[in-house]
Amino acid sequence: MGKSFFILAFFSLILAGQVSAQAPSETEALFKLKCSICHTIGKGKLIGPDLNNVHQRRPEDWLLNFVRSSQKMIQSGDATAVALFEEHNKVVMPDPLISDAEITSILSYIGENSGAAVSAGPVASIIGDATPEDLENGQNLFEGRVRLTNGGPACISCHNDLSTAFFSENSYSVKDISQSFTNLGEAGVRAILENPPFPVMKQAFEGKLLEQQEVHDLLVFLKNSTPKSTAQAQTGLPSGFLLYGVMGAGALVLLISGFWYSRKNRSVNHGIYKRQIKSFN
Amino acid sequence: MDVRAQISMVFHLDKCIGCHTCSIACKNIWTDRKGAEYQWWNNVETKPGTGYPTKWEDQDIYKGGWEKKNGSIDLKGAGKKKGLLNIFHNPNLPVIDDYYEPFTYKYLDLIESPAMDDQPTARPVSLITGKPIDIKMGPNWDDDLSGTPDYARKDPNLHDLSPAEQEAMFQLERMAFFYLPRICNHCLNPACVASCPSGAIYKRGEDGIVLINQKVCRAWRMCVTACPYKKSYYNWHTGKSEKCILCYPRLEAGYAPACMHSCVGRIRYLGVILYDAGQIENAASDETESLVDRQLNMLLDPFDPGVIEAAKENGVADSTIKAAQDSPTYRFVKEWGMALPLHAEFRTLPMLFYVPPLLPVMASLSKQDTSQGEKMDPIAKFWNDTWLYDTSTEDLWGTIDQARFPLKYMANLFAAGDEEKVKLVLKKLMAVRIHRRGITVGDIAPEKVETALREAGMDAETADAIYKLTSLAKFDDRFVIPPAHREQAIEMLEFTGDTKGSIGFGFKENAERGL
Ligand code: SF4
Ligand code: SF4
Repeated sequence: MGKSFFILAFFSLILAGQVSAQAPSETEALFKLKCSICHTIGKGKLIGPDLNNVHQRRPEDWLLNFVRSSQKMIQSGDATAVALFEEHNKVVMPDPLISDAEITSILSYIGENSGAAVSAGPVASIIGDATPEDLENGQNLFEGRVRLTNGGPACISCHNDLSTAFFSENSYSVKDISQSFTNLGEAGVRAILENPPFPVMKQAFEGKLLEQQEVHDLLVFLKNSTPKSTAQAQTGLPSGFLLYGVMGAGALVLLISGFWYSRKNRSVNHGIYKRQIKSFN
Repeated sequence: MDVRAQISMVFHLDKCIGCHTCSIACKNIWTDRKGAEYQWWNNVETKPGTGYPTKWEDQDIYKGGWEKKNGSIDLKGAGKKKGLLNIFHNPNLPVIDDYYEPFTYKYLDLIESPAMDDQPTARPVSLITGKPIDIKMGPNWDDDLSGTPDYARKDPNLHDLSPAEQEAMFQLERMAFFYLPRICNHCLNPACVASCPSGAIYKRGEDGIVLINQKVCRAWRMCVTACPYKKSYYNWHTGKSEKCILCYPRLEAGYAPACMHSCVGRIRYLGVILYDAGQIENAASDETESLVDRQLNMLLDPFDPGVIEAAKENGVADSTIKAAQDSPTYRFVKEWGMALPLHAEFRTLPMLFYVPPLLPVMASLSKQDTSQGEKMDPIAKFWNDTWLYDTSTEDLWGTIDQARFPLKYMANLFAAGDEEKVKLVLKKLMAVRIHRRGITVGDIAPEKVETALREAGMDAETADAIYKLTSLAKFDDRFVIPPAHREQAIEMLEFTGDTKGSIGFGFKENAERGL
């Protein structure tokens, strides 16, 4: 019994140490894992904003809350949070699901690495050389006709615009990704494909990450499919819609009443009945 | 020659007293049911008047009957193309207000009312909604109301009478009216049958009765529109159309139809007439003036050996041919030429014929004599003054020519507008009277009687026969009903051996036994 207690205590200590005392390298790794997909420090905007000197732009409390759950803040109506959300095409920042201590260490990591803004040139495109074969292969990969080399699930199993059952309220996944390229740009989509940040997607691709060629082909496909989106976004009623409707209905009424003009439309006794004294109406 | 048998009717309008017994007899037997309260398969209307349903004769409103088209005829408001185009709203259908909203009174309120200061009243309630209503109209609302602006003066038959003629007709001193009892005419060219999109209406082969199969009717109500006599009615409760069935269950048992059996004035005659069905289309599509003649020409002499042979070939039973030979309607219509179809211009070839009434035509006001004096001649028993009813026979056909009713009006009803035809019938009626008066009263010189008969185209014997059938006829003279031969009729459709040993025979539903 004593021996097992000792072993348990030993591991507990190790774990506790890991959580409480984050070595800088571990924080860096955590930043890479959780944040760098969407954010850079001083290298320009990716999906989310550049985090250079973020600790100076916003109060510490605000940052802590926002990272914990940006959606909660948006829902609670925080003006800055809402403005940010709007500015970034309403792309949801997933909750990182890490402890406050970890968030704090990441924030200080950002502070340490911030400096004078570095001019951020646009991230180089990797799909400039796309061929029709790449496009076709991308489509096949998306639709699951060709298996992903590392065994990851085909995109279509979730992004099918058909079923909501798979997605929980907190998963922040979208079924319809036809607008992804428009919203996120190549760099954003590429980052998601290379290292999925969203909880469900992350889980699904754990240890089954996409090969570089597959990322390339899928990017080509997504880029090309964007304008062909079948589910056209509603753009409001065309001008004059109501007017034409009313005019059309009027024309139909006229046509019908013209066609059946000579119909018998009231009782032949109408005149007599109208004169009669009524005790009921 | 395609000889067929038709049970036809003759109504002698001079004898109708407008008692509505016929309507009640029919209602009690057939239409005293929910949804049928407003239907009067037999109704009696006052003429001039608008009738029931109001203005039924005005086909500009109701679009009933046939119209001539490209050498043939077409239904006016129904049929294949028009019917299909209008099938879902049937634009010329009469509405309940064209008939009347049927009502009853809450009689129970009179009995169950507690003691009160005031007398209890029985309020009228609608038989359609069950709610209290104001009674607006009835099936004979214009009974005896000749001359009224709403009814008599809107009679569609006045359409081609000059305003002066109409005015004269409605002068108080000259005003007259007569009754027009109507049932389904069981037409030879029935518009109702032709209009039915479901094929639910049929004309029975053996006696020509027009019936609606209640199992096939799909409530399109095209027959209601198509029948120019408005004698097909829609039952809003069962969702089927219904019409006069000429009491066929009674006929099959040898009884006269209820309306005829109960007729107080004994105005009704029923009998078989043989006709040539091959002529139907040609006769119905002829010019309006010749419609009556063409129809009468279709009716065949049941004594003609050729006709008898052709009839037998067509499967007309010997007993039916015998009934045709004894038929009172054949005599009135064909032999004596005294009965005419109602509104032949509707082209349905109706087989109910009317002997036009003489009275409203005959008695006329020729001279005002205020001194009155001795009105009744004590011996001859005729009015010897001329201030009211001039029925004198001084000038033989004078009274017909200066009739109280313009002949045109009668002609519009019974002869498709041909006054001569009506005049001829009236002359015959008059001649019979003159003849009989010569015999019974003896105040008319035999030469004068002879002239009258000659000019009316008949001899004394015929005049006596007409008199007998008109005035003295017994039940079996008025109704010569052919044996129905249902046992033969059913054999055309079913093998009777199948039901041998089971109960009943003929077209009957199987008896329901047990639970
Ligand atoms: S009177 Fe009317 S309902 Fe009767 S057979 Fe003729 S068309 Fe048909
Ligand atoms: S029962 Fe005879 S007399 Fe009386 S209204 Fe009818 S048809 Fe005329």
